[in-house]
Amino acid sequence: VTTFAALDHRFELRCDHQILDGHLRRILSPLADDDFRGPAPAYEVRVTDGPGTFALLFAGEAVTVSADPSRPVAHLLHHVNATAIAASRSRTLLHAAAAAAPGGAVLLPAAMEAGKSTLVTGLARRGLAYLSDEIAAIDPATRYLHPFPRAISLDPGAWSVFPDLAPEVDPQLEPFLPPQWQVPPDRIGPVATRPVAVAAVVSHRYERDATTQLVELEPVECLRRLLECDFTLCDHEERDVRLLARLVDGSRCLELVVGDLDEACDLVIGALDDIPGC
Amino acid sequence: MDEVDQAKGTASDGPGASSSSRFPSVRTNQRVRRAPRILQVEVRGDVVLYDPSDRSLHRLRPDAAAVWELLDGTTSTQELAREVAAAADLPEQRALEHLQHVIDALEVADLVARAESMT
Repeated sequence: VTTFAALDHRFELRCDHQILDGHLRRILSPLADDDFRGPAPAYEVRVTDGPGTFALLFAGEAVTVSADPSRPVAHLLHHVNATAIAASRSRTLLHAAAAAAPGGAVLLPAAMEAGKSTLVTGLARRGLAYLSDEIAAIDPATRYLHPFPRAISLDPGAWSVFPDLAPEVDPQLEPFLPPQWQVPPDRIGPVATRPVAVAAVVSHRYERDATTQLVELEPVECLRRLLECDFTLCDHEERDVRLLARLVDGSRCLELVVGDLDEACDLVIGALDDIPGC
Repeated sequence: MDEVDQAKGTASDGPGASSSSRFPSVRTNQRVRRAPRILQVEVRGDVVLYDPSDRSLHRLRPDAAAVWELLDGTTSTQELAREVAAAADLPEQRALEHLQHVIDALEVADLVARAESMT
């Protein structure tokens, strides 16, 4: 039995459709926790009971029962994320992507739909080690960023940028999958396996047809943006404010407008190259 | 993010005690303390205040940061002005005016609270 670990959320997976089971295990494979011993609550994906009974259960409790065959998988991915956030509050959790260069990580905080997954995919393709596309987990004691190498979620808007990452899906599975590519990060490039110190923070947003530019970001404004992206601020306000202030204090702070992904990746990697040790 | 500094301070023309007709807004008998809820951090050498009530950040310029450190709620503005004047080799009245300017700005940002007046 494989146990998966989404940060501190450990779980097992069962699915009553063999091909879908294999597909989901491939998506979740970067989260496999081979060292964990002991039982973990299980997700059960049920798609073969007949129309109107497509279901996701967690620890025996129904998460969703739907007539929509894609609903269980969509809810599975969402539930794993949400429970990871709820279960991992010993760390500071930011709504941010992240990738690691040899000398330190670049933290990529941004609002929803700002292009975190697209940008981190672009950086991973250029050799940066993938840490996360959605949740950056920082240890308050060390200020190191911990990997959360979940599959990268690419919305339809990004599909034309990465046509070669289109998943090869058995036609039988198409009804069960939501309209979002889940790309295992090892398909793209290296995946970070150890915590990494943060070297740079790049607050970013995608703007269609904008001129791509990377500029210095005033550190206190950078801190403000990190606090806006902080999932754990409500419960650990003082801890997180002090941690993020120190993180900003020791990092290069930048703001990126992404009009063209290749140019944006060139600029970010160039900025990392300018940091001693990166 | 607000920046609290001397330039943003606005002298009040309220009924507070004035020690000089030249500086009618200066209240020498007040005691002001840092609001207890405020978190103070340092970013690249700047003192930055975080207000949990609205999650705002306020960067203090060095002169305002120096005043902020003095606001313990137990010392009157007049006594603080005396300390500042001695330390900075300033006329006491000028130090008092400077203090009041910064305190006004901190009050506008709701970062300090009045302790009781020294009557």
